[in-house]
Amino acid sequence: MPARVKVRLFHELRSTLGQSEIELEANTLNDVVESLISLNGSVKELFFDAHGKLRSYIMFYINNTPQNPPELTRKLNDGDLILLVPTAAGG
Amino acid sequence: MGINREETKWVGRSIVRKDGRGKVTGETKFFSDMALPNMLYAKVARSKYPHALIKRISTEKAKTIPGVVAVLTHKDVPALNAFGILIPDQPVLCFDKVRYLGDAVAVVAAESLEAAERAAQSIEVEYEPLPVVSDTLEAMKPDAPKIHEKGNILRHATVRVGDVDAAFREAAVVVENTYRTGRQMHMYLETEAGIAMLDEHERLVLYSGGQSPYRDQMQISRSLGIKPEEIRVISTPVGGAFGGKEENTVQIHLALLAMKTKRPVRMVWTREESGVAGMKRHPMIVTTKTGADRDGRILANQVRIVADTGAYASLGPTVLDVSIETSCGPYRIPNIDIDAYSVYTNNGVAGAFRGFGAPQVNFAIESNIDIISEKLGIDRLEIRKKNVLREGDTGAFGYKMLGSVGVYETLLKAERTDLWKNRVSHKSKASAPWCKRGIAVTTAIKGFGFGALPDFAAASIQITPAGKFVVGVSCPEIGQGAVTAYSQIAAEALHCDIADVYLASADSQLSPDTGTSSSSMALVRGGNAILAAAPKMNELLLDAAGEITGEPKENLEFSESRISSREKTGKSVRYVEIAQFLHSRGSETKVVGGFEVPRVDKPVEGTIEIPHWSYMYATAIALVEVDTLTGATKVLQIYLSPDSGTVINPQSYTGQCEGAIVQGLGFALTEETQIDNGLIKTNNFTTYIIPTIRDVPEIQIEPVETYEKIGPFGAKGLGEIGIIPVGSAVANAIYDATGTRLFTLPATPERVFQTLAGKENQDAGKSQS
Repeated sequence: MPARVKVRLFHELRSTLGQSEIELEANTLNDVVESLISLNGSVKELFFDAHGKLRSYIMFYINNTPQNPPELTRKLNDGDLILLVPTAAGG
Repeated sequence: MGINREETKWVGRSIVRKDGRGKVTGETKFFSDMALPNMLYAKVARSKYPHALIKRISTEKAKTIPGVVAVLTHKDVPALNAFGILIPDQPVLCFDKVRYLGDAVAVVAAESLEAAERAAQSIEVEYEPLPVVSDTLEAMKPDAPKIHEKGNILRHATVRVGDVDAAFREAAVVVENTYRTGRQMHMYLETEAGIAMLDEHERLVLYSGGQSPYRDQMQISRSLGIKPEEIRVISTPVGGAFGGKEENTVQIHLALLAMKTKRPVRMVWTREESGVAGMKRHPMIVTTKTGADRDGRILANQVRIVADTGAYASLGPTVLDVSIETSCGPYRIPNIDIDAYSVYTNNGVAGAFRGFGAPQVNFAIESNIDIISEKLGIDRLEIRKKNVLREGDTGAFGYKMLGSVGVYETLLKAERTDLWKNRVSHKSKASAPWCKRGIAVTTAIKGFGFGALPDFAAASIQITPAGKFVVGVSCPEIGQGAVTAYSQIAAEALHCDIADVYLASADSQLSPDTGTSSSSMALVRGGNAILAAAPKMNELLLDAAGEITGEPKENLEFSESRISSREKTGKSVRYVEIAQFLHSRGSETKVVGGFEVPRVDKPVEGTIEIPHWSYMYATAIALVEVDTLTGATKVLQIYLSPDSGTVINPQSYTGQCEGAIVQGLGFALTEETQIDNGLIKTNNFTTYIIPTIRDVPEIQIEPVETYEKIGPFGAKGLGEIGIIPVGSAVANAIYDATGTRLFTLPATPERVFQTLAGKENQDAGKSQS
């Protein structure tokens, strides 16, 4: 039975998907990412490089705990709050 | 080449700054000037030690002080008790450990500032002091006291291209030197400040001069655990930023207090507090070994960078990337070997500062180039012409230069100046026998934007019932002239008078996310987003005009706030009429456009954001006079030729360059935060010396206008490039004057005097030829 989780989106993810919070059913972080890609395919390029490797510039948080680096297969629980923050910084 | 100014009405012209009058007359009220009814005053209780364990925090005494309304500690942070743009490693309110004197342990709101100050001083904290780590080289040792659990190395990066050892063996001359730079402070006129309150819907509203409302919104949301759209952030006006207001300062504390007290709360850091807790430029130790052949062609560059990032990460990891990226200058170098460290210490916090890691390494490479030119007997400008990048070249990191490259042309312009052509004559005019004059020329490079990191900008345009346009851009005006430039671009694209363009600026409720006013990118982000939105608005206007006039759309054309038939039918409709038509029918009146900065799919191995798609360049010439009796250096003239693409507003352009140069003179000559064992000794204008009007030399700005295809109307960024070559130009000019080379900046009178006396630089460098 997949967990019911809240996903809070920031910066380019929020602009591209047009919403700042989404409720999803997901077993893992990977399911969350896949669900977002299914909503708008253009965010795939934000998450993964051309070789399908997860980019390091998106910060994942589960219940206020940074996941660095994120373990995409990590099991989620009902009520988990996931923050996805693309880096919007540099010089 | 730039744009054809005969084809533009607003772009490329010195339009008077929209925010100019208010700022020069003092009419503009900054948030530190603002007061609201029923407002509370906030104060932070900061650490008493640069490095210590917290054993106990007691707020009881503080709470009994009359007028105190709230005293918050780490227990009152509902979600993530940490902030930091890249890595949230700085506690909002410390609970187990403090790592520098600016660390916040508690935050207080009271009916008066005096009560808030007394309460902050009355917070009782039991500390167990730890050894202070103040030297980066010591901090890197395995047995150094650990500032963070993971150790003291925030980031270590290596980049290697080619074979430097083989190249050094082939080189006719090899020079190796170690350079050191100071901890510069931003010293904006307005310190970190803001007001937070709840609106009538109990929604949090934060007014705080910053560099990105949406990023502040993210950090508040992350720490308070509330949805971002429940937080409105208004980030303009800003009384100076220069990178120092990219990071969270007062925002989260104010948000916590407003949520707790349900009253407006204001916090304004004192100058001293800004000095202790605010951001700084990373001091760096840069060892650069450069080899060239007999003709002066650079064969190899080996660089080791050690950056003091202070107690927390902030933007340290990406500052290090820019140092790496610019450490080889704007030169074609086939073999490079870069080894770079960003190191935690208890010396405040270093983060973003105009130039973002570039001025430090520019000092190193440009000094080495001058040393090589002297050893080979090649003119200093000539050796740079031989080596600088040209359009389509491959850069030092092995990638092709995709943007416009005008650095060679900046050198050509510099070569033709009176200052350079008649340098012998200029040098001979010293004001006293014990004074010596010198001239130097240096070049610089820096990318604009976030390089290989995501960089997205959106802007909105709405037509009002009066036929005017409201342009929503969230990049704050931080003094760079963005509001005026956006208005020029919008007026040009919308075929209207610039007076009919109003900016809904830097307000998360009124303007979409345009990214940040940082990385010399606000013009390109906002300008391109406006240019993406404008055709949608024009289409909307054309559709309505077609309906009103009965003319087919293809027969209609724009001209000065109206749409008319091309067919000489006399049919014409003004924007105000179109606007009334749209509003009366309840039709759509607002559009949004987005711009994604092009970037490579994968950064250079070992880096976060290298390469950038395009770069700014500049050449500077400095004429200095050194008083050999006192060591005082006076900069008499600075010439700057930037390649920042098309000049959107010549007056703003000149202002930006002049400001950058003067800030660069501070970096070069006087500005250095003195920290002794974690204690800051220079945190106000009495002890921390910035250039004043008396120190400003004669300045000449001469742009090279290349056309940058990813920029609005061919523009690039500008804000940072002007500061980068100033330190190296001044240092090399001091050498030209005295024959004694400085390996440490700033070139304070004491340092210059000691160097002339042979008491410094004993082991600064070595060379072989």
